[in-house]
Amino acid sequence: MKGTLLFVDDDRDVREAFGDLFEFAGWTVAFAADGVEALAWMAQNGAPAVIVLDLKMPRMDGYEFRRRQLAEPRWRDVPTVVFTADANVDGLHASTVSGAAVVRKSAAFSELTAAIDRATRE
Amino acid sequence: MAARSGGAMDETNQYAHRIHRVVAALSHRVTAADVAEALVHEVAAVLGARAVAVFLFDDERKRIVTVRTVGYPAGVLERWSLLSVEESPLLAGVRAGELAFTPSRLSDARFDSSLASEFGDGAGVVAPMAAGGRVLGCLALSFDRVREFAPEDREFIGTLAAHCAQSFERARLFEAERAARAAADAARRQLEAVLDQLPVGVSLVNADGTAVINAAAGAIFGTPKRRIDIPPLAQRRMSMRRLDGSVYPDAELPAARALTGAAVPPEEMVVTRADDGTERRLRVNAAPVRDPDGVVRSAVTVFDDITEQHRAEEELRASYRRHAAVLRATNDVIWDFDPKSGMLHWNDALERVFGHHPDAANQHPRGGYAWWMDHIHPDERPSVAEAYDRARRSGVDTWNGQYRFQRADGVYVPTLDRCVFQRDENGRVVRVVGAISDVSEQYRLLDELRTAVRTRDDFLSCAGHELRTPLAALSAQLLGLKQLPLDEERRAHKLAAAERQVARLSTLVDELLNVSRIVHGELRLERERFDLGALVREVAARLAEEFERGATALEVVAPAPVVGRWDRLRIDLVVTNLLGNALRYGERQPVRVSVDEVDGRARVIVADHGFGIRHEDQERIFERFVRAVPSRQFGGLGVGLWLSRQIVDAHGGQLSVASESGKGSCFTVELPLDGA
Repeated sequence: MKGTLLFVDDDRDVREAFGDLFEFAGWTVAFAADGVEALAWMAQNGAPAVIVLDLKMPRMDGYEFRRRQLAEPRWRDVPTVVFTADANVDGLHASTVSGAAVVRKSAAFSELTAAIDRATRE
Repeated sequence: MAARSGGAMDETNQYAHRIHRVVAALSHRVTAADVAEALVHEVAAVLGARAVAVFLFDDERKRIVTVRTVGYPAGVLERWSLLSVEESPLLAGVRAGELAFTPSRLSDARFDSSLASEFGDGAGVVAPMAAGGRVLGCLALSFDRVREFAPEDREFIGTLAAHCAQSFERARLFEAERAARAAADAARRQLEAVLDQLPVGVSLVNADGTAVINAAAGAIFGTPKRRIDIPPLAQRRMSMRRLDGSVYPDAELPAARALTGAAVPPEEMVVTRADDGTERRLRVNAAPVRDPDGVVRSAVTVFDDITEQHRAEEELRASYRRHAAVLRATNDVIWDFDPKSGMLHWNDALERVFGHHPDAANQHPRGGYAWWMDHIHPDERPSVAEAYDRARRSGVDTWNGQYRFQRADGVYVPTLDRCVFQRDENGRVVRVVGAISDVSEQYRLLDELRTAVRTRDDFLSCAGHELRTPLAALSAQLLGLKQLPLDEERRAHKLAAAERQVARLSTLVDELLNVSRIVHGELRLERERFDLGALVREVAARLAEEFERGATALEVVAPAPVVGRWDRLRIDLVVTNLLGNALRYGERQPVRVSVDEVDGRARVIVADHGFGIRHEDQERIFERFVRAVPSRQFGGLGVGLWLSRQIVDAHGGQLSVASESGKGSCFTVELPLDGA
């Protein structure tokens, strides 16, 4: 077992479709629809093995979640992969998500899993 | 006695004859020299004298001057010319008008005895020549024999001398008159030459209507003559009019008025020459000319031909009017700076564009330049002053500046200032002319353009995001279907999810196409007859699962059919969009959609109880690419409401919103039943 993967995305279809794939890849998958839910999940369940984070979400977006995650010593070092549909995240936004790996939603699923593997190995 | 008397009569006749002869000889002599010439010869012949001389007193009447002589030796004449009248009793007596006779020079001490060596003893006569009570000179006669002078002889000689004096006086007057006339002629010619040199026309008009004019006046009136007659009005060939067009009557002409003794101040008139029809504009003044007794003899009139000057002035005025019109027509604020006086002049546009009165600059205590500087934005003032100064000193012709300029209402507006330096031969700036334009509008357009570009980029980025999300879900579902070991139920579930993503994608693509069509004005409604209530129920059913997953209750109230002719697919899009928004922004509070018919119009109301829309955003949300919340948090193209309003408008209907922040929103669609 690889541990728990916290998948933060406001789109239910996305959560559902990728959730199945992550599970098949050996992860225990936990879901959150926005930053607020993700923080609540971690407060209740402790740090996951990895976080896959969408950026554009209602209530609390991925940038704000990332800021709060890094401010909290218990969660600061949780490997995080930003998984976004934004086209121009490579430039400005990448720096604002502070060191997290960035994978675009148009990429192949293998790219996402490779990024997650890299992040968790470090 | 008879003989004597007869002799006397004969002698008298003889004397009369002699005088007649001498007077006749003298009468046609005009100069003093001629008179003297005739005199000496006639007198010598008539009286039988050995020598005759005519002397005139010099100007001081102290000596005698020989005018003409016959018979006297030169040495004697020279000695006499040296005699002082005062010292010679004979001459002094003559000068006093006394006639001196002697029968014998040698026995009369008054006479010159030295003549005896030439003529021997003989009689002598010195007769004064008096005219007009004044002794001009004397007539001297010397005989070469002693003789007595009868009273007739004395009378004859006296008469002869008087005639002589008259002839001399006549000749003198004649010569004086001739000299005076020559001098007058010379003076007149000199005056004419001077007058001809004058650039203005001058005429001297006499009371009798004759006139003398100079060359310039001749040129104006078209005559080569210098002496002319002023013709009366009826015969005048040249029209002389006042500026109001009225013809001058004879008595009103400046010269005529001056002849009455009045000085005529300058007045302008227009003369039209009869010969070539040319028109000249003259400035005319006149003054009376008085003789020493104060009687007006003539009038001098000065004509200044101001035709060219007037034309130049008119051109200047027209040019100025055109220039002024240009200055008024332009929206550029034109300024004109004189560094010497510090005066800064502005055109009226200063008031129109910036609200400052054009005189404001020059009323500044430190001058126009300081006023200008004071109105440049403080942040830019030092750099503008420095750049302007550098351009001014470096010898370039122009300077351009961009700075914010303060209007009279205190607001700073962006301006573009361009100016030209006019320099003297030393390169010193003598004048600066410039134009300031208010470029707020250009800046606003630029901003608008930038916003439009940013909005479009935003939209494209949103569209990408919105398309990529269902695509990512779809490809993940397909990957799952392909690779995961699934039972029948999960497989069906995944297929349904995949279909949902395809539907989402096609809705998005429809939206994009509609946006594109509307933007290009190509939205064509395809009307068909249907029940709006049924359509709303259909959309609600399609979204039911989404509402369920969004934990939001959806209530549809459509009690009766509302049938009309509308574009089904597009009205579907409107309802889908409104319900989607209600779900998205409704904060999981119940959403209610109702359909009814009011006053012949179909009405759909979508009400949620979410966070609502701030009042200031309620119209803005219908604009393209605008949303009331950051796109970062909420998906969607940001065109839904704009698109919905376009579609409703195209149907002749209305889409409106009523909302209160924190209490939810209520969107109302009203459509005419049979379309517009």
